[in-house]
Amino acid sequence: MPISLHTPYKKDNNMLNTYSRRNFLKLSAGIVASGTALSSSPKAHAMGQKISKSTEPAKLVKGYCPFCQVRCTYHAEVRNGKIERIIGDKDNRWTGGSMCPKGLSIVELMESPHRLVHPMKKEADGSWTKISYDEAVKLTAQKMRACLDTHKDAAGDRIAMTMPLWDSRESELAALITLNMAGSVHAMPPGETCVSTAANMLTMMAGTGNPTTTVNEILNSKLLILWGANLCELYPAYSRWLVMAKEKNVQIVYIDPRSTSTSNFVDFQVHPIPGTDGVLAMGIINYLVQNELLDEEKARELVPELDVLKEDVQSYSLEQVEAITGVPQDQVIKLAEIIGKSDRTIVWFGGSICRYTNGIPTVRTVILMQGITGNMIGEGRGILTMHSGKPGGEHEFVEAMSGKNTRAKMNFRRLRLAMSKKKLDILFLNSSYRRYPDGKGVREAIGNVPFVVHCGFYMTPEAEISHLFVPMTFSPEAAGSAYGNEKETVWRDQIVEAPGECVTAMKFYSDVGREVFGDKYPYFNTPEEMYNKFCEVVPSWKGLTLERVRKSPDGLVWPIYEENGEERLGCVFTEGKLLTPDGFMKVNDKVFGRIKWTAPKDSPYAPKANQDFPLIFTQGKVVHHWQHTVTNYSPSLAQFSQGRTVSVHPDTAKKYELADGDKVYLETPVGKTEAKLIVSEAILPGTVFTPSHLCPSAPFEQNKGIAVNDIVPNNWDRISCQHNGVGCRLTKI
Amino acid sequence: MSRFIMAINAEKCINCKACILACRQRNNVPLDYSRNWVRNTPNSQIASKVSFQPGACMHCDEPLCVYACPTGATYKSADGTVNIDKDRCIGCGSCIKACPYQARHKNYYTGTADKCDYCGANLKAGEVPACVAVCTTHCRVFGDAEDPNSEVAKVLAAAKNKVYITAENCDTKPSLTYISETMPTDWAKPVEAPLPMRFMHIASQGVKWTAGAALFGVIAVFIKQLFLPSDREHGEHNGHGSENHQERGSNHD
Repeated sequence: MPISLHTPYKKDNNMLNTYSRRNFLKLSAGIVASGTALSSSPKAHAMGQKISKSTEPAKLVKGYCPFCQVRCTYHAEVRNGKIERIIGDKDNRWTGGSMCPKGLSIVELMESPHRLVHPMKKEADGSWTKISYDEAVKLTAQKMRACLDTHKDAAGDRIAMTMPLWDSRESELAALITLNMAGSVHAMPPGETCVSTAANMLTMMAGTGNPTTTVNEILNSKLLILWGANLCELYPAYSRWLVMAKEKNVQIVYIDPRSTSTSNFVDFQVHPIPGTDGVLAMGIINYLVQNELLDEEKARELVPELDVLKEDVQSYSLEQVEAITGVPQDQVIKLAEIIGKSDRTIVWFGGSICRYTNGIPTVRTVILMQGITGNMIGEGRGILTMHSGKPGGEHEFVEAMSGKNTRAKMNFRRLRLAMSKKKLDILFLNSSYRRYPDGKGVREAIGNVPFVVHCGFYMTPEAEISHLFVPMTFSPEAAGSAYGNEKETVWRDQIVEAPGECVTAMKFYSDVGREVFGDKYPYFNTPEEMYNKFCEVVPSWKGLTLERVRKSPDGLVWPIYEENGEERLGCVFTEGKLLTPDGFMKVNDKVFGRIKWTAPKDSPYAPKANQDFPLIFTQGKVVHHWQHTVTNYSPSLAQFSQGRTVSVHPDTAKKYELADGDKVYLETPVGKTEAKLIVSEAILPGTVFTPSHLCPSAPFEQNKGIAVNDIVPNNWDRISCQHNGVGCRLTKI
Repeated sequence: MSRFIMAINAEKCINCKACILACRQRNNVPLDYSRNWVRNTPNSQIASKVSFQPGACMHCDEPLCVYACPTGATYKSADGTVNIDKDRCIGCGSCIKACPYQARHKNYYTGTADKCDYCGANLKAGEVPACVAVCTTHCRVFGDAEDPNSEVAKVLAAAKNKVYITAENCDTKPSLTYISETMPTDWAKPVEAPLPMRFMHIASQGVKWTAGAALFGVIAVFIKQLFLPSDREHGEHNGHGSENHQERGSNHD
C-alpha cells in the first residue's frame, strides 16, 4: 500500500529549536553549572571522529599522473604535508580536468601501510636486512666495479636494466647514462611487451614511431576507426574525445572482438575473431580495389607498389574474410564502403592490434590501407596510437653526456637467454618481470643473475627475487618531467616530502654512477638542472624551456626548435610527405617481406592446432588495474576488482556445461590458474578474456592472483613478445 | 530562488568509477562506504551488453530520510538539497533505514549519518561536486535548474525522456534526473512505513515542550532562591543552625 507522505520539514541551516540528545545534554550541563553559558563550540564531534587538525590552510600544487600515457595533469590539495585529494586540471586541453580512478589512487598508494621506505639487502638465508641508502649505493657500485674490473670491455653485455622507471624522465635519463657509462645499452623498453610492433611498423612505413597526428584532429575527421582501441577502459580520460566527435557528427567505427563500454559511443562495431584483424584489413583493401572505391592514381602517391599490394590481398574475398574473421560479409561490405567513401579518416590503434604473433602484417596492412585511401597526410587524417608519444632527443642527450656506444642492443628474448646461461652479472629490475610471457621461466632466468636490484615500492614478486631493494619516490614526492601521448612534456615540482629513505631513481642511478666513475660521471644535482641541460643539448627541445612547461596546464608538445616557438599540433607530415627516407610506404620490405597473413602461433585455428585447447585466450587491462600492478595496493581500486575472472559467451558456457560464477581452471599448454567464470554476451563465442594484472603479493584478496603471463607461452614476433591468441581450455573445479 | 539538481546521462557513463574515488577523497568517505555508485546490469539490448547507471542521493522532494529523522538533523533546504546537520544527528540510523536508495551510511569517524551533499560545494559560486568535475564524458551535469542559462536547465529542457527512480510503493519525488534511457529502474527497495519514527518525531515535540516547561520551573525556582528567601530558610532559623543565621545576619548588617 502506498505510503502517505507529509510535506517534509523544510528549513534552512539555522535550526535551533528541535529536541536532540546533544542539546539536552548541553542544557543539562548549563543548569548544573548554574546557568553559566556554554563555552564550548557547538560543533560537538561524535566519539571517535577523525578530526582533521588543520594547522594550515590547504594549498594546491600542480602535478601529473605517472601511469598511462594520457598524462592527466592535476592540482593536489595539500595540507600538513599530505595530499588530501587530487583534482584534475580543468585547463588541460586533452583531459578537460577528468581523471580515472588509477590516477586518483596515487594518494592511497603513497600512504599505503605496505609501502617499503628503507633500502634492504637480502641475506644468504633469504631474510632481509635494513641498510642505509648510502650502503645501498656503495653495494651497487661495488658490484658494478667488480663486473667492470673482471670483464673489461665485455662488461657492457653483463649489465642490463628493465624500463620504465617510475617517477620522471630525468630518472630514466640518469639510469641510461649510468648504464652507458658502464658500457651497456641493454635497457629493455616497455614496448617490447606492449606496442613495439606497432611503433616499429609506423617507423618503417611512415617514418615516425609516434602517432602521426594529435587527438584533437579527430574533430576534423569524418571517420574515426578505433581498431582495437578500447579507449573508455584504457584511456578513460580520453573518452571525452569520443563524446565530442559524436557531437561533431564524426562517424565512429570500432573493431574489437569484445563489446566494451567503448561500444556505446560508436556507430558501428565489427567483432573479428581475435588475431584475424589482418585478414579483415586485407579483405577491405581487396573490396576497395574490386569495387573501384580506390583512386589508384592517388593511392600510388604514397604506395607506388600498389600492384604488389593488390596481389597480396586478392585472395581475401568476402567469403574468405568471413570464414577466417567470423565477420559476416554484409558487415565487411559496410565497413569497406564506409572506409572507401571517407576522405578524412583517422585510425586509432589499440594495443591489441599487435598482441598476436601475426601483429606485424596486421599493422602494416592497416597503415597501407590509410596510405592508399589518402588518409595519412593532412587535417583529420592519420594514425593515433595508445603508446608513448615519446619525444625525441633521449639518445642524443645520453650520448652527449656519456659518450657514444655502438654495442648492439639485446631485446628481452636475448637477455633472458643470457640470464639463463649465467652471462648476466647485474640486473636493475625497475619494473614488473611478470609482463613478459612465461613469467615462471623469466623468474627462473632472473634467478641466475648474481645481483638483482629492484627499485620499487612494495614487497612484490620483483622485490622478492632481488638482492637489493631500493625504495622509490612516488611521483608527487619529487620534481621532474614526463611525456604524454601527444608528445607533450609536462613538469611537476615536488608536492610532498618522501617518507623514510625513498629516493628518486635519478638520485639512485646518479649516486651509483658517481660512486663508480667519480668525476667523469655527469652528475646533476636536481631534475631542473638536468632538464635545462637537455634543452640546451637537444635542438628540438630548445623551445620546451622549463619556464614554459612549468606554466602550462597540460605541457608543451614536442618539438619546438625556437626558444619562444609555437607548438605544432596535428599531422606530423608538415611538408606534405611521409618521413620515410623516400617518402613512400613499402609493400615489399627487405626484412619483413610482402604482406602475408598467418594464424597466431599456438592458436586453436592455426594449422595443426592442439585440439586439447580449443578456446582462444585473450587478456587485457581493465580500468582498475594499471599494468605494473602497483595499483593492486590501492584499497579503493581493489573494491572494483573481482579477482581472477574469465569471461565467456553463453554459447561457450553451454557447450562446456559451465555456469556463471563457476570456479574453473583456465589452462594453456604451459600452465593453469583458478578463475571465476563470468558468462557474458560481451565476448565472442569460442574465446575467453581474463584481466591481466593481478599480483600474488597484493594485500587485498580481490587483487591477489598469479600473473596471468605465467600460463602464456614464450611467443615472440620479430619485434616484441606476444600474449594473446593461444589455445586454452576451461575445466570446472 | 535556486533549485540545485543533478542530471545524469547514463548512456554516457563508461563505468570508470572515477566519480567514486573523487567523492571519497573530497569528502573523506571511509573505505567501507560510498556516497555514490555505478550500477552494472547485464543488458543484451545495448552495445556494451552492460548498462551502467551512476547514482547518488536523489535529493528527493518527499524525502523519507527527513521524515524518519527524530531530531530534525536531516532537512530539506529551500534550494532543493537534502542535507544533514551533523551537530544534530544522533546517529540513530533511522534515515539510513528509511532511504529506499541506500544512499546513506553511518560514518564511523563522525558517528553520524552521511550521504551526498553535492560536496558542500559553494553552489552559488558555481562550484561543482567532485564526481561532476572528474567525469570524462560529462555524464553528470549539476547546477541551478531555475537558472535558464545553466547547463543543467538546458539539458533538462532538452531531455526527451526523463527517468526517475522510485520505490515500488512510494514516490519520494527524487530530484536526481536521468536524462536518457537507463536501467534498472526498479531497484529501489520498498519502504516500510516509518511509524515509530513518525511517533518519535511527534513525541519529540512533546518532550521538547515538557522539558522546556520543567526547565522553566527549575530556573524560576533557582532565581527565586537566589533573590528571595525561601520558606525553608525561615524554618531553619526557627529550630536549627543558629550560627549560620548569625553569620548571615551579620552579613546583612
